[in-house]
Amino acid sequence: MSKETREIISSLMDGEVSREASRFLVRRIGSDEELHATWARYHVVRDCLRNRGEVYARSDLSVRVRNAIADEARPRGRFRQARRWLKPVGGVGIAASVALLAVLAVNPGAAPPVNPSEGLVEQNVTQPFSSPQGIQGKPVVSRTVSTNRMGPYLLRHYQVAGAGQGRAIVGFVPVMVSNQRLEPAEPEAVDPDENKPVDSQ
Amino acid sequence: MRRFAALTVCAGFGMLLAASARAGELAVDWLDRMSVAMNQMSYQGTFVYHQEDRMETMRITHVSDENGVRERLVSLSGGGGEMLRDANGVSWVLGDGSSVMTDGSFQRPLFPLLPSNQEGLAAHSYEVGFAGKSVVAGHLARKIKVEPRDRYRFGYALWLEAHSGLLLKWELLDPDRKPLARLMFTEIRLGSEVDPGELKPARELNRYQAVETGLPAGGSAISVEPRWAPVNIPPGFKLTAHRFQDGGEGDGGEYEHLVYSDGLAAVSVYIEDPDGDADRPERIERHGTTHAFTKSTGGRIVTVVGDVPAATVLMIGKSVEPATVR
Repeated sequence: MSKETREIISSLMDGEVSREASRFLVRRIGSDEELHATWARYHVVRDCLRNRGEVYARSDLSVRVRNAIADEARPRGRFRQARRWLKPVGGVGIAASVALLAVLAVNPGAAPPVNPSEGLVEQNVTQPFSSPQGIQGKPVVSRTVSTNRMGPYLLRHYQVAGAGQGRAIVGFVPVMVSNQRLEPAEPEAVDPDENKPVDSQ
Repeated sequence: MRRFAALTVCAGFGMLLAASARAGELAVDWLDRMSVAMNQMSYQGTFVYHQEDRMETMRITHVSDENGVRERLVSLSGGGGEMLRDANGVSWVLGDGSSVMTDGSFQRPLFPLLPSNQEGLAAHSYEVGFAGKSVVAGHLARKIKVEPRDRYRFGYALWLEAHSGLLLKWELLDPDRKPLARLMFTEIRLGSEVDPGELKPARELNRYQAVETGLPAGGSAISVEPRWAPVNIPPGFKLTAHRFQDGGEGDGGEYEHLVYSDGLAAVSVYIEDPDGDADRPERIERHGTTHAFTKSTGGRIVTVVGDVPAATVLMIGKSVEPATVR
């Protein structure tokens, strides 16, 4: 990919491209794997730059917190691993280079090795999101399942609960994106004294 | 002179009151403003959705005119298919590119819109406030923080277009205020700039294989008191919609759908006659940012789904029982 192409993507992210060019580029990004990967990488770097340590946490918070605590015990190793993570990103356009400097400055986290969970029947094992922001992710062991089981419930739920509230986009997007992913979840304990449930009417 | 001074003081006091009232009501009122804008405005744009390891580039076309509201959401990354919504319901072209799932629309009396924040419902469960301004997709935006008062709901950060209240950027925050997902427009056009031609699906829907939802259509619902309901509901959630359908002479069994909302988050509770195996172990799952709980009890299958923490669907789902028990 040429330097010019990378700079154009960077400009697109910054909103500096005309509407017509934006539409064209967005379609190209949707159909070109390399462009899409670059687009995704730039967003990760930019998010890291802007959020300084925020993380796209999953709802299995207890696991994430444990991993974060474990991470804090070995900061130097994380830094070395972070540099390995950053290496492939090097050499991109000006905006990304600036972003990389900032990422190094905020001491990003690791791209941890993945060990798929044992004992789970799985058809697809995907790697976790290698967050550059410092908190290791639990290996995402997702099972590809038919959307037939939960899909109708989600579709109806968001049609009823979301559309009327003007949340149509926000409601349907996660369903579409997580189309074939269904994962076991552990509820987080809630302090019963702090948040007393109420009886229904 | 004294009268002039009094009038000046009164006018100043009035302006102060008006300003403080504006400052006090704006943050919450902007939630309603957003809802109105998202429904009644026409807009078209490209946005990025980021959740965990997934990043999708998507395009939305939302047209609101004399023909009603029509909407098309399409994944430009190719993984999520497309979603079409109009007065006839919602059609979801699945990511496999060969099948479509359709759910018909509902009559308003049986499925009223969820209450807007005019009743102050959200204010009981969330702290809502301004958090500055920034530019998103070339538009000036006001950032609204919506922080939950307990751990039974997620928080939100919303960037709303400064004049209309249209949503330009959205973050879903876990109870520790860490982002779970983010949506951000990179380009958006409004009003007459919208090209309605983009409402057209990539292929005619009748060329896809139809996937059976298994849920009853909207036409045969009857209005009754809930026959099944959760005993325990997290604070702030109210029953906002209910639908009951008996099997009648058709081949379907009883079906009941209850929707609880705290003004922003919503949880659906489905109670159905089992189709086949009636024995389902209790199970809690995550589907994107949505949690789902399933169990079987009293010969019924209970399914609870919502964009809420797992603890919320668990509390509600575990306590569902026949209303006659109480």
